[in-house]
Amino acid sequence: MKRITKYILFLFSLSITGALQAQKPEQIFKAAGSPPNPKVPISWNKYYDHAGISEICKKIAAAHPDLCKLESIGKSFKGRDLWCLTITDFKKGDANRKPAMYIDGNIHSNEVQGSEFALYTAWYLTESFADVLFIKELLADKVFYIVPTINPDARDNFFHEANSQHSPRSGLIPVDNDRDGLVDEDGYDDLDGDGNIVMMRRKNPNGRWKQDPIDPRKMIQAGPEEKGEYELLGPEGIDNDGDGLVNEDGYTFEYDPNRDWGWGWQPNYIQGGAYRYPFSIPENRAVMEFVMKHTNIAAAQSYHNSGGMILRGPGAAEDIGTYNAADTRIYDVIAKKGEELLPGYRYLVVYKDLYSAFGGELDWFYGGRGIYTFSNELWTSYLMFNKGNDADPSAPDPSYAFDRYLLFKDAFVPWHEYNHPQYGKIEIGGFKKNFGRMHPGFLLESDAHRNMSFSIFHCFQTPKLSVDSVMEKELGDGLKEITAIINNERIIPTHASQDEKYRIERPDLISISGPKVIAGMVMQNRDLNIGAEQKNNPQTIEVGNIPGQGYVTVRWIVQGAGKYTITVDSRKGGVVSRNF
Amino acid sequence: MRKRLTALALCSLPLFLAAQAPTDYSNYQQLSNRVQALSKSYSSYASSRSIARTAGSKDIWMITIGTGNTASKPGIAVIGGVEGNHLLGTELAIGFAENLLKGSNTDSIRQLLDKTTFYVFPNMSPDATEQYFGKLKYERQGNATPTDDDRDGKINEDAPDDLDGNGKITFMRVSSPVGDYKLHPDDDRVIVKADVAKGEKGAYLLYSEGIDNDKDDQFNEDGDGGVWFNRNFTFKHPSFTPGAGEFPVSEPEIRALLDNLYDLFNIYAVVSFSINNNLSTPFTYNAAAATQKIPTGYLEQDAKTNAMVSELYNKIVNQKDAPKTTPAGGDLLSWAYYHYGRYSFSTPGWWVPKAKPDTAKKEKALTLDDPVANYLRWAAQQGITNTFTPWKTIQHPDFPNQKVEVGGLDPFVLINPPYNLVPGIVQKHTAFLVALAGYQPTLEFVNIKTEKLGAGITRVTADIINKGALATSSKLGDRNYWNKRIQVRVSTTVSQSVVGGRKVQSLNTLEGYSTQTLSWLIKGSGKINIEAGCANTGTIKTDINL
Repeated sequence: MKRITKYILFLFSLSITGALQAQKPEQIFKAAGSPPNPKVPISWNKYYDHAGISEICKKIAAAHPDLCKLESIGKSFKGRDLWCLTITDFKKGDANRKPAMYIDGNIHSNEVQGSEFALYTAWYLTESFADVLFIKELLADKVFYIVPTINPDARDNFFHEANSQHSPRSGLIPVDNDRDGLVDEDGYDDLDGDGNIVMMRRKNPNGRWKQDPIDPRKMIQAGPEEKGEYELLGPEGIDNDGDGLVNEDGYTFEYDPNRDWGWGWQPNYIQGGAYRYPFSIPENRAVMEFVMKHTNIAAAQSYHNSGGMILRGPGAAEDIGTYNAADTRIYDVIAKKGEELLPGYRYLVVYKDLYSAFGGELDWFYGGRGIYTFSNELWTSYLMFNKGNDADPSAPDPSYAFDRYLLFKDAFVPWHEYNHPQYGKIEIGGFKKNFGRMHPGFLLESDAHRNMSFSIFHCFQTPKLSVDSVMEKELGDGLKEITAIINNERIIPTHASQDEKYRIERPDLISISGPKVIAGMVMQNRDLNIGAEQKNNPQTIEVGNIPGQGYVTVRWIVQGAGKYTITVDSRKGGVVSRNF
Repeated sequence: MRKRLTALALCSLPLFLAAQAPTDYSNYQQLSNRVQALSKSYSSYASSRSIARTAGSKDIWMITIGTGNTASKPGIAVIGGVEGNHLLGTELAIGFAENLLKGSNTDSIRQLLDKTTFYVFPNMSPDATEQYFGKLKYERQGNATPTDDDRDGKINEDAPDDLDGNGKITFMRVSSPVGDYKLHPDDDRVIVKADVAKGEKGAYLLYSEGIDNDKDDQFNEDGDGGVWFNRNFTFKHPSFTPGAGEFPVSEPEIRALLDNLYDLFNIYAVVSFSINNNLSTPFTYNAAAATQKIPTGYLEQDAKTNAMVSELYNKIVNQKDAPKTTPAGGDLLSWAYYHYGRYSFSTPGWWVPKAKPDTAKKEKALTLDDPVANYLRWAAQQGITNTFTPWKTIQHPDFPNQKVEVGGLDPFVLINPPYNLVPGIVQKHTAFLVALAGYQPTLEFVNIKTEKLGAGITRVTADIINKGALATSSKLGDRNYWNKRIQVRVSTTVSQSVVGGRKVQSLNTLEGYSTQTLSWLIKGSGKINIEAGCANTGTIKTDINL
């Protein structure tokens, strides 16, 4: 009872805020490509903590019951819900059998905007369904599983505790990083109490650093015959445990959740950041269990930051053999479209263009489940002035100018003095944690939309199967030969080569019901009558794969006339039936 | 179910205690009773608990044997049931616990238990071992997790079938001109692979006993169960092969084992009983394999340690002609060394001895080495009967016009000795484990020196020595953060300070019988305290007068 009252109050307060925020519909003129009067008004120029995400998820699900279902796929280490939004046209077909695109964000705690990008996708799809025909058709065929954050504990920690833009990368399971038997005894210290861990510098005539004459906030190295003025002392902190090391065992890097996945996993001394064994991090375990249950997932995106990259595997040089030419071609087609849709983003391969790492999420999705997966590294300094890119080390760093002229120095903690218990008189300053890897507010919605458009293209290219055409031939004595062509009109096959090689998902089943089936075969060449007979259970022909933009041909010899139905049942390609 | 089991366990306990030692391998219930009986009879030394339940609703037992704060003392994990067809492994583990605790009324074992903790996991494959006691007896390794072994989308659709109705799954041979098997030249009960390289021609096709139930031209390729314990570990996991699991450590019992072991930083060695054997013959050093980015061979120092422990094993257990083995990947033995970072040892505990020709029967040495032929000779000499089913012709639906015979050696007998041999084997392995604990890393401060430098400053020097034969961690384990490092801490009073040297420091591995010298400059007078140690060495302390 109490609950219901609470819910009514909640709805009531919603409608009030809605009334306060939204303009009247007649006051609004639609900008192309954006929902003008969304049922759930959300501003996309800010970031949301886990409670904020939870509220948005609940609002979207409540406002669009026929398009969105919300479930918790598990709990984080600290007991927060891992929300998953299932988005499809629930009135059309069985949601569990439509080819699916899985999207998550925030596996690395400080790489937060993937959550907003994922949420934006859910919001845009549900709010545009009524007006945009393409979206309506897409959601009839496909389903999106969107998990905005798979690391909510450390997301909240990043926002609400003192952190730098690089911390924490890890979740919050405590680890004794320096192997001294004590856990988290020497982490960062927010010396000036402003919630940002920035840099420490000290005036030192023997130091090798000086202020940049162009922008004195910036520290640059003194030239070869030049005297420096400062030494740099690292991120804010003190030697809490008296072992002569500063910040060597904190919560900020316990482990790396993206080294915890069950393909090519290696232990910590080979792959830094690995925890105990694959899926030993509870959040990843929940995702794994969800993916194992949803065998219709054919495509996936895992959002990271930063650098403006569209990444595919292999994650490790040792895993090159897993990606063969046929699959690489498919990755190439999708990602090259992504480069067009995402100015400043480059299509790269993790092991050779970034770093070689074992046990990443995209490695398991592809290597372990045969799912075509990208990781986009969101945000690039290209977006500051629409030029340059993060890969060019010789280009001047545009951050200081961007902060000065477009953010009016909102992103920087000015250098200020501090009396350090171990270093004495020092200065503290530097970019805040919300700058460097995160989008500034005014660019957030724009890049969220572009990245969403890439995922929509990716999802659109998952298999679309049809019983394309059927030929009948009388064989005499009441026997008939039925030949069916099963077509896949999109780029992604029902089984990636990795999937087909290891039979990760079962074969596609093409069955005929109605007449009595005497024999069944897969045809290599129907005109020359070359095929392979399937001796067992001939009414359901098993095929290893239905290629992208390709087809397979099956043939049955049946007895008796009359109506029949041909059904194609593919784990990643969906189910289609046609009556004859 | 649970309630009923407990009730059963409780009422059968006194019976068991009164009863004689077991006369055959223990099934799940009998083993559970033996575990409960130990923690009841020796409650001051042993406690047991279930760390997980398998898909087949069976408890995985963990027995902790030791005194006081067991987690603060160096420990050895002892693991049985590593392979579901290896009943002896379970007997060795539980038998070790029983023997050790029986000895707890002696001073030597009491002293041992004061300095070493043993963690015994008697059976990691209870779903599979139960098949030995089942209506249909066959060698099973998979647990009760339903798996699609041939990955055709159907689960457990082609299990073996008892064609001759003798309650055992043996073999079937099909006479065929394209066969690749022939009769053994010295014993026509035995069938061996024809050596094509020597121009030999086969006459038989060999299958395990059964029908191609799903008509896919494969026999018995997808029966009951499951994931194999000894194929589901992370080192060289044989992904997508039968028994390996969908990914490493997918099974609740393996996860529970690993979580428990990872939490026990005091464990320095894992001794397991499985077909893999680095105790009879140690792993040797291979520089190329050891120095790869992903090491696949023992580091040089660790190979030496393996050789030392192997020597100890062979001296105590003294069983020759062990079959050569190479860990197949996904196995516990490799995991415990390469990924857990501990010393790792495994032995099958027993194998069929090389049978000498029986001159009374005018036997000659076998012209072709073969384990079955050797077993049959050995068994005859031991008076063991009824372990071989003579070949018998049957009608087989999949070979309508061919001669099919069912027969051959019983399952289990090649790796599990007759039970009357088990107590002796257990006793020797208990002695080995006790001797191995004598090798454990043990720290001591020696040569403590104080020198007055004047002005209230004293130079303190101390040697920290590892009196044990084993290093404080394996060379590979030293790289792994799941091993703690030795911490040395100097405690001072408010009027004292450490002006030279480190108040707190981590040491690298101390090799067996090696020493490291440490020194500090201390300002002040009176007494300071120095403490050194980590989880797998225990902690030592000393007071020093300045």
